[in-house]
Amino acid sequence: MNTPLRYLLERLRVGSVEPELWGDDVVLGLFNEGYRDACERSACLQALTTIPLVIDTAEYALPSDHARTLGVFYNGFPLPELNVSSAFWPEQTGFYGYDDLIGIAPTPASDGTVYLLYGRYGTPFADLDSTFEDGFPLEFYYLLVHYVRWRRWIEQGGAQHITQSRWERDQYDQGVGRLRRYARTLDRSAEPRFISPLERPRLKARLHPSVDAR
Amino acid sequence: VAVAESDRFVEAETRVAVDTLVFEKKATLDVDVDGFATLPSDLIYLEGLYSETTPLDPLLLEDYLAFLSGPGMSGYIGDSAYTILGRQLRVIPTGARTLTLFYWARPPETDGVTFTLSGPALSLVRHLKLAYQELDRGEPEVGAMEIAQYELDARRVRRRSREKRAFHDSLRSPLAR
Repeated sequence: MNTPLRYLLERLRVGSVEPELWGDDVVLGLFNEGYRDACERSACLQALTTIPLVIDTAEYALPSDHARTLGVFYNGFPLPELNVSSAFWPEQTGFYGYDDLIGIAPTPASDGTVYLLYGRYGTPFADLDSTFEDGFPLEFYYLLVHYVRWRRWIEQGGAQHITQSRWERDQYDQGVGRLRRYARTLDRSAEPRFISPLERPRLKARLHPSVDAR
Repeated sequence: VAVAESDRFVEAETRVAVDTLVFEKKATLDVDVDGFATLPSDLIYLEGLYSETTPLDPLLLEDYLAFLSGPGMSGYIGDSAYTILGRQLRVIPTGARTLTLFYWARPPETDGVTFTLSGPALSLVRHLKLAYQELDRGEPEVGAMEIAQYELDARRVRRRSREKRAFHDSLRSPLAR
């Protein structure tokens, strides 16, 4: 079998009446864009890391391959996500993010460890013989064909291209949605165990005793 | 430029397998002392995990991580339970052991002549392959129509497979479940 990217490139070129649209470098660049976008939106590549907390330090660097935060856990609880703008209000507990930083509120007053679950970007393709990372399933490689066609045709303009590019974009978006569900439900039978949604208000009360008291 | 037929069939068969979930497998998995094991590379969805004949409880990843991060909600730690992080299986309580797993799998690469899927699923493979071919050949309208039809048919096959499973489950006694 061809390498995955060469196969996808052949699919783009075969029968095309505009072969100049599918040059190696242009397509490789768009493959990388599509791969990055699909990884970020679907969070199909998950990673777990720990962040050691330092007294009086609220903000910490995110891992370099961080695409989006999926959950932050501390001392047995998931921390809620806060808006950056409200993170510094009194009595706020949670995490916030901006640039390449993650912040913990309130500012830690003691040492500890935060667990960060995040979706990461795949390693970019260096050339057309590069391969996808293991966590990006083979069944979804075809998404990149739709992504590249969408982008190239929208760049070309013209009524026919625009209509077709819309359909390609829909296919890509729907596929990313399926990939996201796939990533979230790799194990399809899990039910909340430790912390059911019904228990969450009580948890919040434990995290915010002063709020609870009001 | 030509696209190899077998490559097209590989692409179509793997997508049909994930869209229909009709290909199941059983395997054993060695869990290390930390409770970690790498899932089989052809696993699409995990269906069930057993320690001998005892099923392990699935845990939401976020519940597992909450447990891992500290003592806050550690009230529950009953029988063995597991979660999945990326391609890694994590079992608690930790300790080396061998587990049996049942899962929906990705078929091995076809040569375009011999296929793993059969029956209605194999018809879908041929249908999808043709749809891709039409799309690539500069017939986007025909290809789009065929893809839409494929998606409807795939849903139907998947539903039928689920119904069959539910029927078989209903025949088993509650004690055997």
